[in-house]
Amino acid sequence: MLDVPSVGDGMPPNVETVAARRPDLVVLYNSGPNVTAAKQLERIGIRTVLLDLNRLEDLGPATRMLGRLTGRQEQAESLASAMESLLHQPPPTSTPSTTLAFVVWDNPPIIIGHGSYLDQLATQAGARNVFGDVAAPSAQVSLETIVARDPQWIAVLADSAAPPAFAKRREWRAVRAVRENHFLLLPGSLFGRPGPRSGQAIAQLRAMLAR
Amino acid sequence: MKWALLIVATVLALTASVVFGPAAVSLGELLHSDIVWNLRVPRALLAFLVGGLLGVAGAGLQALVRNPLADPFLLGLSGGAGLGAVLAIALHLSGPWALPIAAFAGALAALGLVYRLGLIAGAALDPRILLLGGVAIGAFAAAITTAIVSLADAAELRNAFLWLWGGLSGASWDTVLLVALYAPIPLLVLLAAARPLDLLALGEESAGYLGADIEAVKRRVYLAASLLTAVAVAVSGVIGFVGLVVPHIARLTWGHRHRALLPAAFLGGGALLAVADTLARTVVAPRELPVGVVTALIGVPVFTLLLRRWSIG
Repeated sequence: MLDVPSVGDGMPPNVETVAARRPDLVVLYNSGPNVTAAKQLERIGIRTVLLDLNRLEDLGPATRMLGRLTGRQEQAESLASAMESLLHQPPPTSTPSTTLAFVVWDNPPIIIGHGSYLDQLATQAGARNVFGDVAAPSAQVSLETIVARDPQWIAVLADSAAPPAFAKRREWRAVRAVRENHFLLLPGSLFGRPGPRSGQAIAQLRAMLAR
Repeated sequence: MKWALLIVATVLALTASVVFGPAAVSLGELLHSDIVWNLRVPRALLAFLVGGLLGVAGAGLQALVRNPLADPFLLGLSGGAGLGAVLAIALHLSGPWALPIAAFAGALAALGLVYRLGLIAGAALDPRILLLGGVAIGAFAAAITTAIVSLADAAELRNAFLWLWGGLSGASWDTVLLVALYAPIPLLVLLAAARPLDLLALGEESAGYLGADIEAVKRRVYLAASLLTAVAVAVSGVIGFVGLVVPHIARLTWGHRHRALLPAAFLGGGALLAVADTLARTVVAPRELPVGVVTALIGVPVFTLLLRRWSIG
């Protein structure tokens, strides 16, 4: 991957730089700024697809689509069914006793709700997201709601081994999991988006919860 | 009567913000609940203090620049604070207080630049240059901030904007204590300038004839109001409309005497922000609304009603 040149930000890419390389296929994440970029690339005759990759069930269809477009249908089918089996596997326990909250930002507190793949990862790892009743992928909540829902673990996306800076803030000490230093530090490369390694993410989360 | 009503409204607002919240705490447990003591009470007090400071700063600045559109954040402080906060994240300054300290430093830097610009014409502080300089410095800082955010790919930087748009999630006894220790001096400086501010409404020249040391008053009012705004932005980001609307509402009810106007703007701003924050926490619970949205949704209708009454009467 080291010699892949940069063509700008992911959302959206620099359309001119992409076009100058005359790729056979451009794959973009389906979101507002990328939709415009896709239209511009199609207009100059570069084949572009937009992938919906927000939840685990998007992984199968996305893999099959990429397989068709690259002529590797068989391999894609095998990968897609492996990823679909992730979802069809029953979670380790039907009534999870371990609870967690994903905190993506501390001021204002932003948590992950039912609409995100992270909520699915938690379920498949045998834990319950205390904000599973929030339909949106993420939402701003009050700190006192986190205290009242009292998750056993606070999960944060972090590439360092140190607890997040907010752990030292006085108002966050009201959260029991913060006081007890119960943080799940999830590496961004594995947990930052749904992908072929989501199975590994589930296994790692399960191992962390079992500690 | 007006004062009695305002004080009752303030007490009610503070009580409501302690009694109501997204977590269910029964009235019997209210006095023993950890949630109430460590989260709700400091948050209610911080909302009240920040609202009050913004109300007073707005009233002082509107009198100083003699412009009804003046708002504590118009003079470049929000731009400076935003740049400070984004720089803190981009430079990976860690620590629980990194963001507020950087925002405060950014606001102070903007304050210093605008003040220096205001003095450019000579030793006298020109309110028009203050206004124009403030808007220009604010826009420049905002442009640098946007450039940093769009060039860096850290998702954290986008979150810096969330922080900057304001909210009282960071409230704790530490922040309440900090504001309570910091604010009295600038507040007293503004209160002491009440009489010369009344005279300033007559125009600088007339105020000078009537014995006010106009230059000293202008400097003190600008610095005190800006220092209040800087601490407000450091603990709670940019909360709009309180500093613009509350002084006008206070002026429509209490008239133009600053000895009454400034305390009324403090209590009114505090009560408004306490109510707005209570609504922000509870209306869509378990989710929360940005408090700036609520201050605008309450403040603007009240303001337009008063404006109508005012223009008809």
